[in-house]
Amino acid sequence: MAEKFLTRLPAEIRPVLDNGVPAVMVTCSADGIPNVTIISQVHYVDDTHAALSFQFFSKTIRNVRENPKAYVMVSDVIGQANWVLELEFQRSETDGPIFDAMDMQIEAIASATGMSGIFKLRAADIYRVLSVEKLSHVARAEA
Amino acid sequence: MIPGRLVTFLEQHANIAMAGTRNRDLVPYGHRVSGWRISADRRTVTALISEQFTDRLVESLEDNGELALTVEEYPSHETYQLKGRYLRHRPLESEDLEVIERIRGRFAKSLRPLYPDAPDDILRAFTLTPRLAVEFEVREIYLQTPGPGAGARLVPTADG
Amino acid sequence: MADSSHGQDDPAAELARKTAELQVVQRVSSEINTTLDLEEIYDIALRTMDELFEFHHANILLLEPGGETLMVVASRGYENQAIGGRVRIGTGVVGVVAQKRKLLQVSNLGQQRAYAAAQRRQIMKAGRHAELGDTVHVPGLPNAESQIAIPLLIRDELIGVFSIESPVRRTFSEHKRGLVSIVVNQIASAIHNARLYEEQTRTAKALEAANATLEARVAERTVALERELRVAHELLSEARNRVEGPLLGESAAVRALRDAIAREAPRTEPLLLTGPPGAGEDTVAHALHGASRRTGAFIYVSCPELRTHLRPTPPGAGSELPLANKFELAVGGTLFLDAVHELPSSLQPALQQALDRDERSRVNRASPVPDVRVIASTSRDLTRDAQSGRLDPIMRLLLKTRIALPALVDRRDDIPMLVDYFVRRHARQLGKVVDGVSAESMKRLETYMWPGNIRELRTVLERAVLLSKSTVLEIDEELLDEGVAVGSYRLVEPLGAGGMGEVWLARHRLLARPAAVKLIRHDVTGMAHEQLVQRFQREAQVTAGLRSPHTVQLYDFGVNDSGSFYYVMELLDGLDLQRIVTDFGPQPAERVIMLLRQTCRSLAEAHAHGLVHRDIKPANLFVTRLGSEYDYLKVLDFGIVKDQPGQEATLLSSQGITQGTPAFMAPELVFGENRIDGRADLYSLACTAYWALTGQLPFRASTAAQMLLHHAQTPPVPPSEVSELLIPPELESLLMMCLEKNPAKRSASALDLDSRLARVRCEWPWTEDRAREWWEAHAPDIVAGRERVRKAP
Repeated sequence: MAEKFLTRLPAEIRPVLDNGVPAVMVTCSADGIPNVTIISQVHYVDDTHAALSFQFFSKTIRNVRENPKAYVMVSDVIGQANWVLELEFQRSETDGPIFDAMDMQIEAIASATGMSGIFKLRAADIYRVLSVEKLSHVARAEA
Repeated sequence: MIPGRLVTFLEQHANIAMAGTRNRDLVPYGHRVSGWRISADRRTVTALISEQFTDRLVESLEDNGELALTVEEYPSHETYQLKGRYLRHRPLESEDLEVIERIRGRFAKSLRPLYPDAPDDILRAFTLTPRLAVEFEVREIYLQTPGPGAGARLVPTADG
Repeated sequence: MADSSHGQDDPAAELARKTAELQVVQRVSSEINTTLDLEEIYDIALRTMDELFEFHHANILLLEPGGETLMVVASRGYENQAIGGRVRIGTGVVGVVAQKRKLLQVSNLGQQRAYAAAQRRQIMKAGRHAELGDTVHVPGLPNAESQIAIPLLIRDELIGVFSIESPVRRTFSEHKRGLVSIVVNQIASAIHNARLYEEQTRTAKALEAANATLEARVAERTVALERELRVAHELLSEARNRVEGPLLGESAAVRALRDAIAREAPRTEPLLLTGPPGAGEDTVAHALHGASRRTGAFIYVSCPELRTHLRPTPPGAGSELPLANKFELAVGGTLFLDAVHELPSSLQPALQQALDRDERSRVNRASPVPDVRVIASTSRDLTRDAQSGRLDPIMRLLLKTRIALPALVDRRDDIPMLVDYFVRRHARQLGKVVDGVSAESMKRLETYMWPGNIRELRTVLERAVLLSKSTVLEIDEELLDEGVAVGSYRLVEPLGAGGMGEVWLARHRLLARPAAVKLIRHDVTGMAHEQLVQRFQREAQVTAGLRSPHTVQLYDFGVNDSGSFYYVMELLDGLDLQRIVTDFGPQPAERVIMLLRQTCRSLAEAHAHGLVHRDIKPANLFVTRLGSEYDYLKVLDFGIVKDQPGQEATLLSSQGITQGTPAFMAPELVFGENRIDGRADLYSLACTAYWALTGQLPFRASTAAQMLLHHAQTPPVPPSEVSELLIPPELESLLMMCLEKNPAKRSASALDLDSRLARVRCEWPWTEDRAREWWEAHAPDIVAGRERVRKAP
């Protein structure tokens, strides 16, 4: 059941952004072919922006640079809700506080898993939030 | 044609999936997929779309017929993306529900380590109830497991 | 108080929660700031984190020296002890937080790890293993899902990281993160202060220890330096004393001496030092030179030694005069002529000339002369000579300025100081430890007569130190009894030395009778020791058997401790004929005849015993004063006497070529004939007489071999042809007869020669009076008994 069609990221989404299991992103190339990919995290920038990590060059990265629209869904398992974000690609950052914050996390994992240099933030892609929708499950009712 | 081992993966390991479409304005949409079935000839896949995600699905499919289905085994993150052309859609059948049940069980089991204290039904509820079955012809399959190789095309192979 | 949930809270509950949080923060603040104990601080920090955030797993890590790693210093909630675990900067959540110095919160570590692991598998599948590093174990929960790590900073400087973990996914709100930061900042400050305190305490202790060590080292060094300074002072004092030597002392005599030195030192006139022998004349001369500030050298000349350069034997020794060279060396400095009364007469004009020139220059400011300060010393009593007008011109000149050195007995008060000085010096030289002299010995030293003055004192103490076996010296009567024992005699002072050994003045231990001891070096020949002893004994016995009053008496003989043979003979006052002729020129015939006749009487006894002297020469004819008789002759050195025919060569033959002295050697000795009799002695006596009358040898040669050849074949020139003195013809005939190459043509015997000599008429006979006058004029000290004998080789 759809709830609250928003244009800003609410506070309650923040823990979900960190914990999203898993986050999924859909993009579309300029010639109209959709692409669905798993993403590791969605980083809260502010209530109108989110950042996604650019770790390796992929179809997704190319798509949003051709066609800035992006669809992201994060799931709150315990909260039994899926959050849908419609985003628009703004820019790519390779430094700054957003990049640093995302990079710290990635580097923390990479360094402990022998993946330094491989598992590495190349850039922080900044998206403007176009809409936010919370879709709650009706599982309990069904079960 | 979907390779045999990928059929095995889809039928026995994958536990979460997402479909993607786009509208006439090239705006992408995502649709939670609760289950999937592979045709006997392994040329088509039927995706069982969760109820909450069917709104713009048919409209987009009927507009351009483009569909991408990404299927993952959580938490290993082994992932494949199947791209193809929409063929038809239909309501659910009983076999579909059996498939979903199996997938639901697999996914709830994979979540347990993350949520050791969560009630079982919460974890099972993650796999949503499907409402629509969409069949599409698989034209390309890509490796989507995270890593530098993500995006490599598996089907068709270079020699066809 | 975990804040991992979403959704709206009850405002009241929210307020209550925040109030509680603040109270906790306040409590932490007050608790943590009241202690400087690190363990207490850690405990408070962990407890508070648990209370505030319900994170049951927490680590405090501190940066290690070197800045490369952090170490877990405190831990809570971990089953496996995390303390001591290390994290490398830049590794894991904690390491990255330390590197970036920013808070990091991760809520889906599991997912992140899985994501990374998936990629890792893909990379390995692609065969790109080389690109992968090792998985690092970091201290903490192995399957933590959530972690928040906060840097501990003190003014932007990292001191550590506070890390809390959870096995489940949890996040902190903005508010919570702020609270965590506040608490962690307090923890950082408290840890920092406590560590500073700990370091200060440690530094203070180390400083204390270092100070103590430093103090100890300084004390040690001070002691060492003081010791070095003491040694340096001692050495300096010793160096000074080496020069000052006998100038030690505070007696009136020494004070007066010092005053005299100070007064005379700056002057340039010749100066004479008078005093008894051994009174320290060379030391005073040094002191004068030192006090004068003259920049040139101090040149020492031993006048007695200058004589050795003028001896007629061995021939060809050369006649260069070193005196002129010494003068040159002393320019700008001091020339010290020790025992100037011994200066050879042939050198006296040169010295006189130098002194005259100097005097004129000084008076008239005439042309520059070499700037030499002449200091001379003499132990001769010049007063009588001055009174009788028999003073040498040189002495006259030197006497103008003089300093009288006191005898040791005139400065007895100084004896203890001198004893101390000599004892310490000798002990140091000999490497012995000597604390001093016993009271009894010191008394003995203070009362002894010291005829040898300071020189004798020094010798006695040197001997005492050498022989002592304890650290306190005992000087007994024996040591004072003039030193080295030779049989029953003690050697007092050397009288002369030669190729074969030395002659010493000696004194009988008990009888106090003076004697002359001739020490003969046992290494003169190459014979074995036992053989030497046998021969020596035989020869001594033979000599001792001679009774002629004109043969020197042998008192004793033996072998001393060092293996030298020795004769003890009567001590004679006088001069040998060589000295007489060398110093005073050719002698009148009448005197020569008188001396020859005495020699003949000695030889007659020896020849009658079958002994041949073999070394008759001027040096072996000693002219002595015996009682009231003057010109009493004694024949010396029967050491090479050999029994007539058949005996082997004796050990006392010198230099190995043949026996006797080449200048006076009989032809038959030159040829080494076995049949040698007393007529060989007569030949030598004739050569001796020739020399005494003319001042020249019968033959001139530049080598010994040449001389011997002359003796063997060259006819001698009659002495009257080489001398301006009157030589009675009869005497000359006799001499020429005895100089025949063939012994059969010479006088038949010594007795025969004596009787022939008695018949030689002299215009002016040599009488007792003449003899006495001669002696009084030429050797008054010997006459007075103050001088035994001029030191003759």
